[in-house]
Amino acid sequence: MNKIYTIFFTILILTSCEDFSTIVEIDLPTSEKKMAVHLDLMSGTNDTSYFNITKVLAENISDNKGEIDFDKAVINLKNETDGTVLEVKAKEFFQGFDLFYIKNIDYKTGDVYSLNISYPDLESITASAIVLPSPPTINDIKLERVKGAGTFEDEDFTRMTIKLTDLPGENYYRIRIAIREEVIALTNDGDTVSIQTTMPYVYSNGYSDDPSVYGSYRGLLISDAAFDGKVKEFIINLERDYNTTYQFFGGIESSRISSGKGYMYFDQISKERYNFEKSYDTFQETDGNPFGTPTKVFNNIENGYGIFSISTGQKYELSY
Amino acid sequence: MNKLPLLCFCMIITTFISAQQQYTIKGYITEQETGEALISSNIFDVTSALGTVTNNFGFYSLTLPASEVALLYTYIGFATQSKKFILNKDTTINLELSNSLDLEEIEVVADKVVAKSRETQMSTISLGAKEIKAIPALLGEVDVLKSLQLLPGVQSGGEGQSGLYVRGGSPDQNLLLLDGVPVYNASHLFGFFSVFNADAIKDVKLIKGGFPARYGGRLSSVIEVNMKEGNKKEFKGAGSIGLISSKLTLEGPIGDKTSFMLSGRRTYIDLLARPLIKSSLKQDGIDGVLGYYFYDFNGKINHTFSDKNRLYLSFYSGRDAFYYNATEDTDDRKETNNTNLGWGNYTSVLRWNHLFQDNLFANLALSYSRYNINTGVSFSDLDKSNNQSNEFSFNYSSGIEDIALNYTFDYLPNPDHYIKYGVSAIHHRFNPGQFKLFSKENQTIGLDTVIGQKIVPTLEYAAFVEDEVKINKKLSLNAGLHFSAFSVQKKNYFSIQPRLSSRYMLQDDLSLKASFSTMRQYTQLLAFEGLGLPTDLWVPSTKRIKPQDAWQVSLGLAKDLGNDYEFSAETYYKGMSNLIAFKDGNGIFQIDDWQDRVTQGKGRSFGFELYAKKKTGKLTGWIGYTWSKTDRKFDDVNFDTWFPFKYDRRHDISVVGQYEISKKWSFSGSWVYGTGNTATITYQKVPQQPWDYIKNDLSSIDLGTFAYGGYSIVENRNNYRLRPFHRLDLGFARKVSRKTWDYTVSFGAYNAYNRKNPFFVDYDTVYADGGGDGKIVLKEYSLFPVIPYINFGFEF
Repeated sequence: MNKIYTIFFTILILTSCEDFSTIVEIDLPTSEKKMAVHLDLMSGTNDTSYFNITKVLAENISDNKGEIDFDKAVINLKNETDGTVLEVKAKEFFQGFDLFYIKNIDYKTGDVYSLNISYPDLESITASAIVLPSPPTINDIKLERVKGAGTFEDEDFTRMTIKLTDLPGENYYRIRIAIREEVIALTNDGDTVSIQTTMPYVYSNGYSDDPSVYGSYRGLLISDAAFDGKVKEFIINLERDYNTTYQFFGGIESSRISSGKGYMYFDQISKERYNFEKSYDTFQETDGNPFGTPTKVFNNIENGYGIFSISTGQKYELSY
Repeated sequence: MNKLPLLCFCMIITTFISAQQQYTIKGYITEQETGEALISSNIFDVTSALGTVTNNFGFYSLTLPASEVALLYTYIGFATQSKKFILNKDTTINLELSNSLDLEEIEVVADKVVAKSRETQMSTISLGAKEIKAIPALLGEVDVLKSLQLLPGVQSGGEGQSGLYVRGGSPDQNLLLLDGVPVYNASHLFGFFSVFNADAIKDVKLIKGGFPARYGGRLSSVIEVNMKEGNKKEFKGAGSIGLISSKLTLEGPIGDKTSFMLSGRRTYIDLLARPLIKSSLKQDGIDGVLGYYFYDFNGKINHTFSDKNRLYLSFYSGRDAFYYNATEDTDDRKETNNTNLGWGNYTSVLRWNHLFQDNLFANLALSYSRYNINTGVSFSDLDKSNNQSNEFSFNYSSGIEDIALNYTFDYLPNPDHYIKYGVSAIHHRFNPGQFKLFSKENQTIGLDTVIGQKIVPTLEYAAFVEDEVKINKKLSLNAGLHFSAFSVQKKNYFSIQPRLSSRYMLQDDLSLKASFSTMRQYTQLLAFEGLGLPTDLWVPSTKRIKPQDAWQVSLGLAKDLGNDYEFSAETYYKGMSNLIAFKDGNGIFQIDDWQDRVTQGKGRSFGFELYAKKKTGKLTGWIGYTWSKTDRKFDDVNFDTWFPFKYDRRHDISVVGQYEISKKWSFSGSWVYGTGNTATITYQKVPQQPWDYIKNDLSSIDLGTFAYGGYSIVENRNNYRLRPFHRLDLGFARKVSRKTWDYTVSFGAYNAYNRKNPFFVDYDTVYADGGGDGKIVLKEYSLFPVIPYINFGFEF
């Protein structure tokens, strides 16, 4: 038996003298055969919807653009209810990107639109969306300036109160607010020049403590699960910096001052759009947390990724 | 009306039968060598073909018609005893069975008595301490829970982990009872060892389905761990010296009516490494210590006042501790750092057994259970040049504390009925996490506050009644009802849970079994999947978080081949609702309200299990196979679509064997194979792009023109499956007997053929020899190579 002892322990000691953690490398599948598209058509506000198409990239490459040749993409946006095809134009240069765009029309409630995109060597993608009815009309919008009670001490903000009667059934809404600001640039010698900016309306990071409201980067998202079919009042705080001064290089200071004017878009959005926005935000906020659970971003594109939706909106002018 | 005469006839017959003179035979069955009670020992009257079993305290009661009786007292692995006499009065027979198997001829008679196929209860497997100790283990540390992982229907979480996943359930869905008291955290060292010291354990019983009505409060399993009572015959000691810990157990009688058992275990790596660590720190100018250890301590004392009254007091205390205490003292500064992380369980129970009458046994238990974690970090800094000082301390604590009262009764009116009923009340006190912060600059206190979540007190009540009834010689049932109520934050939950198990004998040694049970759970664990971290948080059902529910049906066959082999095949389906999970993106280590981070949903698990066991002879052991599928579905996870449970495992095989080579030498081995665990892996991304946006051409309002980053594509939660898991563990033991003591040298290897089993996956960048951008790959990390062990055990 002593031999057994000796042989056994010799083998074990030899085989166990290695790194405690062993690594097995697995090549990730690479895939550049799929496309991603993110398009929100807008009914009711005569806006233009811009969108982009990209390749889906493998996680293990450094390229983060996935650009396609716009001329080779074939996009078919069709009303499946009456057979009409919408014109999709390509290549409008905006903020350094080429984009596709569509001049929105007043889409008919209940009509179904299909999106079909094909591109050489990539899998064709399809998606469909239904035109939602208009959101409930907001008859009562109150705006008031609240002094010295903002997020930061002594900061002023605008409190907006809106009241609506919810549509019966499962509904999702989105509120987006644009506030007109004036920008004043000052030189060091005291001369004052007023400048009309190219984008005088800026998006407002409104927020609400209401549990039915989710503060997305792209607006306030609302689920009516808690007030289905009932009268509901929301209080929204519009937080823009007022009289904020910026110091720029070259001895020029710039101040942004609220003009007291703006617009509110109140949209009825699909559940799919709601899920997409929420999950996208969650992904961005939690990406990289080793103790967090992974986030799946919602997808309704067949054979590809992204979101296709049709929102129906109403536009309200704000003045305070 | 035609049925009325028949009904009357039946009533008369029943009255006539009841009127026959009956007497009760009662008593306790104990082990001859130690006096320990034998649980589930069989008592069978050959004359009438009626019988019963002992309860958890070794008590039995058998009421038979007055006549000649031929009783067989049997217990697996023990010599059967028989008693033949005329039953003409109530009789007490306390019997001791010997575990030396010399009476072979009587065992043959006993084949049909102890047969697994004859039990009404299904989905149940018991393991004795001897079986558990024979299984080779990681670093030679015998592990009670890891031995259960080798049974069909039970899966481990990952390499080396002691967590149990029973029929698709989570570890918090196991009702883990140590002498009847719930244990909330069953692991030491982040799950690599369980808290149960095998030297202090008598036996373990696992119930996976068909739960009798006496159990409640968890969805997936009941694990009953019974501590030794202490040798009633003579003073005995046992211990072992292993690679990471040493153990010592002492037991013996105190007078004629009292016995005790004390058992302790502690790791000593910190003590052995302390000089090295101190020296290493000293080189950096630090006077300090750094270490980790765990210990556990079991104790039990019991006293027999009379045949009618017995008192038991048992307790367990176990704790893990990490510490780093350092002082850096220089000419101009003095800095101190004290960091301590500790967590552990404490349980105790005072139990009174009382025999109200020969066939009515009562058990009253007052118990206490506590699990807590405490983390403390404190810094102080003194500037000697100007005598300026700063202090800062941070403490985190969380846990759960229970005080419970149980009163249960065993009533055996006749051999056809074994009725159990009882009530219980538990006062839970949840601490879902509190932070204490303190800072001081010179003599001025800057911060002294407690933040976090409030203590949540709750009350849980239960009542049950069950009857194991023999309908006829072929059919028996265990039918019962379990009622539970839970009161939290002025919200009350109620539940009535029906339970039914049945057995139908197809042949003398082959039975068909079926069961149905519903379960409800009011407490749950918020945990980081995969590791038994001390930060795992027990939380109650609340106004917002509903209790978890489950129902399960099982169907199976049980077959015995003599007294040597038993076989079972079972299939099951389990549905679960109001399960709790972190919402996408959320996890542990967040300070916001835990209720905001979780979502509730459904689960389902189905599969079949095969089990073959050889119980006697030189070679003993079992083979288990499980095929199963387990899914989950939550509102806020994976967009309300089904996805595989992290531990969904299609195939799971275990082979366990022990072979007695000679009287001195024995060999043991176990081999396990399991389909790989799942993980959520992304391998594609939607690149960064100007998002879709809407532009109002007239007023130049741009909405949503943010330059969003891209996002990784998660096709599905748990979309990736790691490589299969398999491992062979081998062990040898040599037992040597001396005049006054015996010793055993055990040695072996964990993961004997050095399988690189995946523990977790992560991304990494690998570079070619010539450099370049590098390539991102997925890496599967494994933890344990082949690890030899040696252990020296002794008994006196």
